[in-house]
Amino acid sequence: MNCSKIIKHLSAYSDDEASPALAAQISNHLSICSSCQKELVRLQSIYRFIDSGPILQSDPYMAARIKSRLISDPGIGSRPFLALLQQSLAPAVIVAGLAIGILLGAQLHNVLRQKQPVMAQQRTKVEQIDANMFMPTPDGSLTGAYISLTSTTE
Amino acid sequence: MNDERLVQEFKNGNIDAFEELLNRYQPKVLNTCFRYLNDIEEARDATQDIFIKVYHALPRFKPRAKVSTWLYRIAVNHALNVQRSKKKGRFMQKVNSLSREDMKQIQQFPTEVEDNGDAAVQTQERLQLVQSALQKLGDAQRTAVILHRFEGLSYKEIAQVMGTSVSAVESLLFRAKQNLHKLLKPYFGQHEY
Repeated sequence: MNCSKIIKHLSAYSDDEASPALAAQISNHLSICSSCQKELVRLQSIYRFIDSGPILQSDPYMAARIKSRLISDPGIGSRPFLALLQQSLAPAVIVAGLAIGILLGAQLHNVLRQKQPVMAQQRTKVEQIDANMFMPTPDGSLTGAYISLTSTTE
Repeated sequence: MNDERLVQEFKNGNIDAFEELLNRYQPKVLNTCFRYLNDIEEARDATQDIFIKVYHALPRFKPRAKVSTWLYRIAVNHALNVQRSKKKGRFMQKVNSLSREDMKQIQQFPTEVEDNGDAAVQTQERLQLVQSALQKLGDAQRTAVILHRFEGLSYKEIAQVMGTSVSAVESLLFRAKQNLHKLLKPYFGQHEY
């Protein structure tokens, strides 16, 4: 492996991320190549510089603040319960909804069927209305003459 | 109890499991946010927002990925979004001037170089230099460096967080190191290259 290929993998090698076979090749090369040795030192110096910087302390009040926000937001507190409902009860709710729909549909069908004869009777009564159902008209009047002309019954 | 078990407990309605996850990952998320935002108060706000997002998203978490990977992905995306929404001028001003209050809250880890009294720059200056250099990297290179160097994630884990390949991460880190070297070389001590 030549220097350009070694340098390409030198970063991973310095991070202990090269495969064992590749690491062995790079180690062999480094033992005989001073320019790649320099490059390795150069790469390592960057992380040495970065690593020497400070890091943040964890915030002891962070958990309390987050919990407070979760509590103050109405509805958030019950989120796991809602999620549980969504996950496990949603299919059951759908099936129950369908069952209720079918039952209501059947009930409605029965009610309509029971009402149908009554409606038929009412329709018959309406059809049977004729001029005889009105008040008798005086003989010789224009209305009586008209009724006698249009009436189909004797 | 491992992370995956905690998530399952949370899904079963155990809120304490979320608190345990919070305690486990809060320092890591806070530090990650600080590396992106370079402001402690903004990093704290971002960390809170991230955990609120996590709380809402946990019921939908699928155990295909590791919890830590999933959480880092949320954290990185959120931090990048916050950073992008900031005005560039205001942000660069912050990079160049960390407040005394910020510095008080930063735990210092003396280095071998500083113990020998041979430091090229003081710790506070060094933090500003590193932060400033990080901001000059592209989003992908910066994310790779933050996750690898400050969070200790492996190349494989970084690839999972960033949704890319291990070889792409290797390449990103190689180029990031080259760029950081160019940016920071003037500040290296006399024994550093």
